[in-house]
Amino acid sequence: MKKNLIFLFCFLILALNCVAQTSLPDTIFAGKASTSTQGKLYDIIGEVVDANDESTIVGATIQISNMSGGAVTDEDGEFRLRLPAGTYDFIVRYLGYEDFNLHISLYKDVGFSLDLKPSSVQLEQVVITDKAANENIEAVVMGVETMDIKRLESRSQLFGETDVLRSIQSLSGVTSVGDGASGFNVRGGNSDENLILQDDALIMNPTHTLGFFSLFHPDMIESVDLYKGNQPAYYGGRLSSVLKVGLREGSKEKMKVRGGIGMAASRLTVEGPIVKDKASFIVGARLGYMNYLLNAVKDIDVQNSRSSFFDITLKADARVTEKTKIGFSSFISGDEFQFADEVNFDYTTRTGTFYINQLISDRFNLTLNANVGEYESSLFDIQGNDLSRFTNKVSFVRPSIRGFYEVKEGLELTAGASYDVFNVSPGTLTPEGEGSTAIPESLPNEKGIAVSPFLQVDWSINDKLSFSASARYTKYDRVGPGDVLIYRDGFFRNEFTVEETQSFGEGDVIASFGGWEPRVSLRYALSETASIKAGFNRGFQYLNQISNTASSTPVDIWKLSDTYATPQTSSNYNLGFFKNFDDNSISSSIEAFYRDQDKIIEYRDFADLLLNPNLERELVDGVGRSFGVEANFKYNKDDIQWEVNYTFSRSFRKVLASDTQLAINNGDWFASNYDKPHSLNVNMTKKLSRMTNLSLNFTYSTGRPITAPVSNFSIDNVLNIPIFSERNRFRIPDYHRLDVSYSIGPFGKIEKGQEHKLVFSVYNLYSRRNAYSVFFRQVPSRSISVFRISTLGSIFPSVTYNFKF
Amino acid sequence: MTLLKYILLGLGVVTIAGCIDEIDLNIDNDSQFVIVDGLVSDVPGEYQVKLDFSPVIGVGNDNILTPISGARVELNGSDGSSVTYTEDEEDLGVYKAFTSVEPGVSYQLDVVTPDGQSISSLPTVAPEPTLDITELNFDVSSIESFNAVGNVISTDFVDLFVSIDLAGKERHPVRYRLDGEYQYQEAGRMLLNPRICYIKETTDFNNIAILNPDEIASDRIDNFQLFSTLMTFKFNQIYCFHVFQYALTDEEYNYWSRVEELVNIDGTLFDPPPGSIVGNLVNNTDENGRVQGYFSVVGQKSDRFFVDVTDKGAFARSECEDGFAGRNNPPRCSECTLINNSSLVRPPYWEL
Repeated sequence: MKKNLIFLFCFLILALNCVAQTSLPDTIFAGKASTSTQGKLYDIIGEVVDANDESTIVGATIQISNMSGGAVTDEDGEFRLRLPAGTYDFIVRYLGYEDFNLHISLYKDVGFSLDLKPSSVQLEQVVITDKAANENIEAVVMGVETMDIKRLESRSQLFGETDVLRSIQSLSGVTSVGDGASGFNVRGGNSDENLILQDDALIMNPTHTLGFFSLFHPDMIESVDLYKGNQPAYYGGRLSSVLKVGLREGSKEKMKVRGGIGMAASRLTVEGPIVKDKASFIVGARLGYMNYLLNAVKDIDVQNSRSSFFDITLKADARVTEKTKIGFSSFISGDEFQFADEVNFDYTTRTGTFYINQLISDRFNLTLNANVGEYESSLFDIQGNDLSRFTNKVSFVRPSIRGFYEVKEGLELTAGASYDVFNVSPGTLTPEGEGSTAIPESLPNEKGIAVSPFLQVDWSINDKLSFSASARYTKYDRVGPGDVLIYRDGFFRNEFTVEETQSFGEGDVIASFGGWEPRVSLRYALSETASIKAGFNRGFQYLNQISNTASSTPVDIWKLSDTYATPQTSSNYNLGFFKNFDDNSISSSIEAFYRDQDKIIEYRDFADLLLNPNLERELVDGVGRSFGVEANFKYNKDDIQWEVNYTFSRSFRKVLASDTQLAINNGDWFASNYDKPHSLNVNMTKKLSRMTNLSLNFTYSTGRPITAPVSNFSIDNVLNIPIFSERNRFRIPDYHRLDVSYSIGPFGKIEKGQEHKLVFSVYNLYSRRNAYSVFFRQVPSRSISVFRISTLGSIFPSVTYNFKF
Repeated sequence: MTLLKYILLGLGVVTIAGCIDEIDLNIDNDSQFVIVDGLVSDVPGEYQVKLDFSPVIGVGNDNILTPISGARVELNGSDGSSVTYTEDEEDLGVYKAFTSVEPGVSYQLDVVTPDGQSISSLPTVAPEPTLDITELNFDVSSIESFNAVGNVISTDFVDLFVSIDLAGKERHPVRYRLDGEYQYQEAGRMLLNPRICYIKETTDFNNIAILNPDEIASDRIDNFQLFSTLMTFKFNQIYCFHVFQYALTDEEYNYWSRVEELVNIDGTLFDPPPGSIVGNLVNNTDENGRVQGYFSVVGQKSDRFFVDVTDKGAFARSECEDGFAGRNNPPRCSECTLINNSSLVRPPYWEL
């Protein structure tokens, strides 16, 4: 108790210091030297922010002169050091900013905020930074990729848009099935196996315009973290990865406006103080406008097509007291796409997050979080006599609590729990228009509840050995109301093998599942510049996207695990070696992974998934395995940066079924849709002059697997029917392209915070006709010929004007 | 500004329209499958069963099936009836019999190939055709597109529709098959006695027309489109559609639904994966031996419909010119019997 009071006291002092100070002198006198202070340890807590816009700086290094060690600012721009009483000289550094030299006389706990000034020429578009130069060596957990906005901007830009999803696809272990695919695939997993969060709110579909743009407003992003291997214990429910997009806070100093005007989309962001120095807001909006491009195409169907999107992101935060911080963020987006007079679909995403962060003591931090959201899509069939609209929706509520406690230096505990409630409306068909012959249909709603307490321990045992271990237990209930058909045991599920129907009332548990999700990571430092790491984790997935297409679509339905679609599981094993050279200017790593999946959802041939009240008859259980090796190389020196990522990986599925009609490929292993053995990404950025930067991106991957016709036959002498091979026996041609980006700027009255910048980018410089899809068509005298559609099969120049004032 | 316009145009074209080119996918395959294609209905007539081996893609003319000659083919009914098919000596692999089926009786096709493989169709109860073809009609539609120099051009199509009254009828799925027949008027330079030929053709029917009335809310199906074809010279005079409506079992309807799905697959990222269609044929000798195709036992209704596009204010040009302009006519313009399946005998049902 006494210890807690001391912590509380220290924290009060620190917090008061935080609030009191507004500008920082180069020297800080924290207390006076006395005999009572000798040998005592004192805390330094600081925050590093951009002097221009007050945005927090993630990954700034705080180096102590004449000593080894230091700190790196975390995702909130904060750092913490505990040092013996004495005087210290610090250098605070972040690329693109002027170094900040600081002298501290440390004889009591101290807290402050540092304003880093951007260097006269910012390295936007050029700088690639991780959290620290040697973060890859020291971090316990591997398979974590962090990208800030500068790293994002150095990546491929289609239509001049900085794009989160397109950028992370350049990372090792991350692929997509092709240009325009919705979502991404991590280490051989389906796209629905990625937990995608924006300010902790769940995003069900992270794309606009059929996958050509991502949902995230680039000017609102603080950081992007992708956990490919072990996930923090706080997160769960998806098997492959966690993509965590953090929104930045608005300026607490003054009103600011920034934006960009592009050829297919434009954006605007306004931010400023609500209460100066205490509360701020930031709101950003984007608008996508492709219609004028469509109208320019000399194809009637295309001219009659429409595509547009918008999104609005809002965040507000306030430091209510020196100990309490609250905030909320909200997001809404809408998409509409219509092809000719045939089909129209639209989809919307709405999310909201509210959080309270309470410092209980200087070692104990508590966060309460509540997320709500929904995703709704609709498909409008506007052709024929049966005009109809199909809609489906998934919504969620997720309150959670997590506490962080530093037991001692190097030993940290994180504990908490989350309570997830999911409501799924799998489909409603509504006739449109008076003459429609469509029959209205509606499937019953589904509801699921998951409770997940967790405990995580992060312990640096000594300089060489550290580990992170967590235990997460998830109890999941699929609750009523609902009916479950019971089929004759051991028989193929169809209408003839139904034995009885079990009915469940409101709130009754229809099916219940639970299990431990252990996660362990170990790091052993071989030297200051080399380490080896190992990790293991196991997880469950209760919410699944039902899609048997290569890429998920915006209108795919979601399904909660139930009696027949039992939760999918995945056990993941990781091993890695990390080595840096030349004072961390060159970093390298090699990671191997193996994934063992069970109860994965596969589909029988010609599965009928839309508005099917007995979906269990179309689904089959499968097992999966993925393995691979990821090699990374980064060079960051002087005015040039290189990043090379190579992945060799395989991903397989196997479906055994008692009925031979359900077994896929006779029960043998077959390549999953995401099996791309070789993947290579090379990124080079170079500062050409004071105001100009050049960036090159090259990407290559093996073509995705497909099922192709191996023969054909005719009926009635006229109708040619192809005979297809075993599933995914063949591959489309390999994918590769080169992108170039050239930026000029910033120019304008930079010292007054007014900046202008022009970004010229060329996507697919050598006009590689990568196959968006492959289809088969009969041509005279031959049975089947193979054709490739290259949606982005040409060079794509674009220019974007960005401004800030 | 002009440059920007072209950039925008280029972006739009490649983004939305994309580009399509043929590629070599390197499909190596040596699989051959037995194909069974046959149909029998409740209307007495000559029916055939066609037996072939499927072609191997990439070997020679890979569109040519290899006939299976010398097989034994029988149709056996649950009422004890049995009909043996006889191989057509001029068309090997095609087995014919004059027969019909009785609605409500179960039938099974039994085949023994020359190499001893026993193939059977699953027993199928012949459905009763309860739905009549209430009405057939047509329309002429136009699709606008851009030609090579950027001008808008219009292409005319003839669309055929069917309407069916469902009120008070027992509903069953149906499939449609069409045969075509058209009148061809000889014309040309120095042609003194131009004649008229009547030419039967297999319509360009590489699509499926199936219908399940159970999926329709109303008591009438109005103007269900059966077919759409380019309005070529064949519509210059009278064109006759022979429309066959087959009453299907639910199993056969599912089969044709899957065929339709397979034929319409575009191969995009958003298409379901193709798969093997399992028909109603089983290889009794080798359980892993895949047999493709379907033996249909159906109830049949038929009708014929004459199309005169001038009724819709349209005009289809003849391919034959009169007088001096006819010097470049194809030979068939002055000798219409050169056209396959042509006859100078006017069919008795031909509309005046």
